[in-house]
Amino acid sequence: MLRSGAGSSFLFLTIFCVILVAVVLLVRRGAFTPKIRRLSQLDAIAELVGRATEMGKPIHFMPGSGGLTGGDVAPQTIAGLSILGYTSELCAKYGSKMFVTIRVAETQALARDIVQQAYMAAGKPEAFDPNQIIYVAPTSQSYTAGVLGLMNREKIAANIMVGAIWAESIMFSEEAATLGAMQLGGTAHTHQLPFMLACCDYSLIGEELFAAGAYVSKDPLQLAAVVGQDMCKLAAIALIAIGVLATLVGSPSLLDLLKW
Amino acid sequence: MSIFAKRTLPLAITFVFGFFMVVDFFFSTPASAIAANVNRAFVVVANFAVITAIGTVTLMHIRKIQKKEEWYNSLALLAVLYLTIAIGWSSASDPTYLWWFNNLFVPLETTVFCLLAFYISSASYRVFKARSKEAALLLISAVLVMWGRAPISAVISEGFAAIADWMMAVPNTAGMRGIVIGIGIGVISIGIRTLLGIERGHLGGKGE
Repeated sequence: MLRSGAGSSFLFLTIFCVILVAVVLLVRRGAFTPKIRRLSQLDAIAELVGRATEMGKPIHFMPGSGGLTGGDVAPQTIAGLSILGYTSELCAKYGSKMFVTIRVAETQALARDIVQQAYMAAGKPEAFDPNQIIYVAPTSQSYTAGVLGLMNREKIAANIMVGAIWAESIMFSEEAATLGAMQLGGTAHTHQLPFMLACCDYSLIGEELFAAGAYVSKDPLQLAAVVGQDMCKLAAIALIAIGVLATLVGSPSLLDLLKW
Repeated sequence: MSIFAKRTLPLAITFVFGFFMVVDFFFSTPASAIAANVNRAFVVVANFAVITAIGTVTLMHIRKIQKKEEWYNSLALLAVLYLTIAIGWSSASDPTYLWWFNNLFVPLETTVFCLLAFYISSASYRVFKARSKEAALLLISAVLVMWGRAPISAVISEGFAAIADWMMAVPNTAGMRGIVIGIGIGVISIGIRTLLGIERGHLGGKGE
């Protein structure tokens, strides 16, 4: 039995799924080639890694301080891990040293596997050092203290923080700025976005984070899903416009539908 | 490891478990019991992940001690880590453990958290420089909001609070809602991509 008040969410999710799957199937059949706009922030990762390599200093990567649970946290962690794979491969190719700091235990195994596979894909499996993936601490401030210490000891040249991030965002980015590191920050936590924009050289704002995995992989099916996502966004804008008009003419039909 | 174990199996597990969670969110069915068990299973897996994480931390710091790389920090970390485990082994509500936690851990965490004020100050100083039109706009709006929120502004004029409230309620909310709607759709999209196995970056490799 449908839970009370969940009807409209289920309806919109179903429509969303149909649009997304339809676009993916169309791309798979070769109906069109999906294209998304350039994300200069993600193009800058190569610049960050290159600069760090030239300076002979390491890179700090943080795939968020969230885990794999929670409606808004898990997707951000997944997006962060996708970017970790791309960054690791660049590090392996250029021979740069990278530290990946982890706060949630279950993310560590994934991060380690991703980095190891990236080194294998780059043809340098022997260069992989398991000690570069560091489980620091499970609580926010212990983790912050550990990472701030690491940043200072290693004198990092680049700082990449992508994922679910809380209060540590400003502490890490300010510390990295003091060290003269180039920075990329990205999160979907709106309360941390101002800090990212203020302190980082490049920022992934909100939904850009969720397109990052598709962008760096250049996989047509993933790009198709992002195109489908944009179509759903247009549908949402249309729905907002209809809602405004309906309210203006005094019709509660859309509001009633949303409460269903 | 075979492709099946590395890719197909994790994707299949994600789909099946994710399916139960989605069904449980929308429908009240016998599947709810399965979803509750999935949640319980995740707690068990997460706890085993903590054990392996502690293991890797221990090995890493033992190596550091052996190589004499800042060995004193590593030694202190291992000592405190295992002492905390030993004290809290019997129960998390053990009086000795609670004393240890409340008088050592909590003040240390609070101290680090307090550093946030200094970091915000230095970030504000850097960002509130009117180097471009956008930065100037940010500076002016931030000053107006901060001034409107400060008690002294109300002594001079009630209008400052009204300006601050309008800036927060209208332009700020409009911008934030746009971002939040985008995030909401993005979260759903990445969720569907992960469940259907289209998004595979978190499994490593190039997603092939």
